[in-house]
Amino acid sequence: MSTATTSVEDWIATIAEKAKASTDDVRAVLDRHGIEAQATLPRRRRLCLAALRLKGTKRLSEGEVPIDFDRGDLTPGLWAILSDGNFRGKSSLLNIVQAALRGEFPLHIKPDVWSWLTDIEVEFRIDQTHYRVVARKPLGEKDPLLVRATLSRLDGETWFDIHSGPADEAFANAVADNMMDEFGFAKFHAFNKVTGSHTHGWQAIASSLFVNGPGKAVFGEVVQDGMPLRLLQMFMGLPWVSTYTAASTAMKKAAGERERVQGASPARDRLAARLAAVEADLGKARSEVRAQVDRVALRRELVSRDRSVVGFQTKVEEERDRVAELERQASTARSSSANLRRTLQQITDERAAGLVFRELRPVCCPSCDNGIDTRRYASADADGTCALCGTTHVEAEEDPQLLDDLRADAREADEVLARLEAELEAAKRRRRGFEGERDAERRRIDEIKDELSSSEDADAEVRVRSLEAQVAQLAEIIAEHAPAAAVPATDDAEILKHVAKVTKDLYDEMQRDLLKEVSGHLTRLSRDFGIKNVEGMDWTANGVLNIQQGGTPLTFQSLAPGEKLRLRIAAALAVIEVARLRHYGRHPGFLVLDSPAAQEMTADAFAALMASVRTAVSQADDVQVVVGAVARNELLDVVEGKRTLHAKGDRFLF
Amino acid sequence: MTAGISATPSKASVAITPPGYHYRDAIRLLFILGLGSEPSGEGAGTVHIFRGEKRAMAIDFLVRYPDYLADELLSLYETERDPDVLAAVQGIFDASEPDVRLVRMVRWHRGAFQNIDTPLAILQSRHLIRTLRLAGRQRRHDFVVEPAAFSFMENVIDQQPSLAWYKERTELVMRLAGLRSGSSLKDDQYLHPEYKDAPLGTEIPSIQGRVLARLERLRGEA
Repeated sequence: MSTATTSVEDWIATIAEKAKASTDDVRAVLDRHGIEAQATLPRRRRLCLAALRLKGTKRLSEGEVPIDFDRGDLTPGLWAILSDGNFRGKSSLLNIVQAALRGEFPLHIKPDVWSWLTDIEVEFRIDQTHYRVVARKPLGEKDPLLVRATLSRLDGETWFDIHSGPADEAFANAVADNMMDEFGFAKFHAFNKVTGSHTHGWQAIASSLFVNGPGKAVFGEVVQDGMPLRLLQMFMGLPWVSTYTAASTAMKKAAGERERVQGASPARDRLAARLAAVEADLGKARSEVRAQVDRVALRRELVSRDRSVVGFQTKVEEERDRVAELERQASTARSSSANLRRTLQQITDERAAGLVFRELRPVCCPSCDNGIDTRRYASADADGTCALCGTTHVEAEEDPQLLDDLRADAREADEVLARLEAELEAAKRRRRGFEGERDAERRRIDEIKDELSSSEDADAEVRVRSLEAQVAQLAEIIAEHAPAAAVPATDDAEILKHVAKVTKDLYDEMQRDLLKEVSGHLTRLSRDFGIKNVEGMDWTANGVLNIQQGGTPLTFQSLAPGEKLRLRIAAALAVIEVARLRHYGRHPGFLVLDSPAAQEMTADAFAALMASVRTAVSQADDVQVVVGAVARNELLDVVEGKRTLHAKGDRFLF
Repeated sequence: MTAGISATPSKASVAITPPGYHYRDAIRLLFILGLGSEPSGEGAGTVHIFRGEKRAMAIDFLVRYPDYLADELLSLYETERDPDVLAAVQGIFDASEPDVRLVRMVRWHRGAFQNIDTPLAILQSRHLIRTLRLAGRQRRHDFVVEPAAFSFMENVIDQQPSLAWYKERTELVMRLAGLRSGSSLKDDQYLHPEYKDAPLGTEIPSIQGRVLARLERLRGEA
């Protein structure tokens, strides 16, 4: 029990030492997982139902009966809600109280009763602070969303509204948060491999305050996540319990994540293989999509290239005209050059021929073929005339200048021709160049048109997009399963393991003592309440209640319904009793037992039960127990008359 | 030699008289008749006879139109595949002969025709050529080539080597013509649409572009 006083610093140092980590690392892990050291216990607070007021109209077959129930004088102690017969409204009243305390309407309230009510007002105190839950709705309305629910706190003389709105989840949360705060309860963290992380809070605690049947669990309504043991630990007031549960939850979560990571490893390999395959397909599909078909860009390119083709075509035509003109000029020049050279050749030949022929004097007349007298040549030479026709010789043809001029002209003509041919060749080259560029543009335009019109390409594009999406998705999934995330989880899990162990060690011994004591009280009360042949009960640290009955080991689940109910009442009372004895308890000191004798309880057993209840109440002046039951002497004997609400005969409680 | 030839475009001279190159024409005719003749008998003093004026006209046409000659030679080459023939054609174009050596003829009813009276008179007056008058109403059909013509032809080339072209060209043409008749030669010439379709009285057009292309093609095959 001395461990309860261990300081937070000692606690962290111990964890660091065991986990072989630095205290900073330990603090970081604690922070990361929201684990708070709970070295001391907050002060115990008591819940007390103070008032219950109802208004409405009962719609019965015999007619409408107004409801106007008002008990505003409820105080700590034992209270009884009695009726002489069944179905007189006892359970309804208790269910209304539970619904109000949990902020959940209609919860267990029967639908017909719920529809009759128009005004519900439940006042309660937590220590000296007054709270009130009010629910107002139209008569006959069943939809909680059309219920106006208000949680208020009395501040001096006036009610301060903490939350007001439809009776929905938000209202239930507001009530729960307020209650958890007031009682200083930490939420219960639990991690379940199947269902993941859970937080249990006020609803679980509140439900354990209402014992109304055999139930599924010794405490409360939830059996998962070791809830009964945790409630027990909380009510017993063990320091470090909430710390331990938080550490234990975090440890399981971290280990679970690591397990999932490790377990997912083959899956990750498969995913990686799949990713590689999809990426390969994507590469192939991309190469199939010629030049990454971007239709908008292609259309833009098409327009621009069309314009370009027109430009080149214009230039081609300009050059074509220039070529034609140059060809015409060159042709003329060629012809001139040829004429000149031909003339030059002919004159040259003519002169050469003339020279040889003039040396050969005619021997006869070309006309009559008669011979020519040589003397005629002598006299003709002397006169400078022709011996045949007598014409005076003119040596005009021996003009040497003529040939020089012709040669010069021929050279000039050749130069002109050469220049024109050079220009022509250049113009043709330019034209061919423009034609080449124009044709290239046209080919590209045809290609673009093909690309644009090709449905195959469109399909390939779609395929690329789809493969890209698959790659992205696979990469995301693999990243989620990435081992990187497991590294801190592994480290955290290791440290958390030590946090849980060290913390558990702190209260283990105390818990063993406590559980032994509770088990003792439980055994005694169970026998008193008529559970036969109970030889012993042992509430283990694992949360299992081992029951030895008639030489047979049993658990809560294997008991008969009557025995279960009695055991639940016994457990509730035992906890209150042990808590009182130990001064550690954090039980709200409020208990509702609805029809405790419903499951074939003998008069003696019921008397014993009521005696136990009376003892529990009498030994602590701030405990409130409300029992709803058919009026029996055993009950009437132990409850003061003024603390009863008794519907006598055929009457109803409200 | 006649003056006033319209030779230079720069001088824009006006032709006073139609150009006449009678001596040159006489030289060309001399070589055609001389080299195209055959001996009439045996012995040193025997005369040579050139048969057929039409034949002379057909041969003259091939001398005066180097492009048509080239075309005929290419046909010969296609038959014989003699590379010397191809080289000769190439030489014709290399020397721009279809332009420079062209002496146009006019298309008449019986093909290309040129009145040869003047050059023939030059040759006859020197006792180089003599027309052989045949019986009946036929005018000159054959020519007698006097022995002096052969020695004169040699003198011509000795004195004016530039005139050797006429001898060489006539020899080349004679390789095609041989002793074929004028009609046979003209039949070949009529195969050219440019020659055949030329309107009467107009000059026969050049075909050098077409022949040059044919030469390029055949050289490519060679």
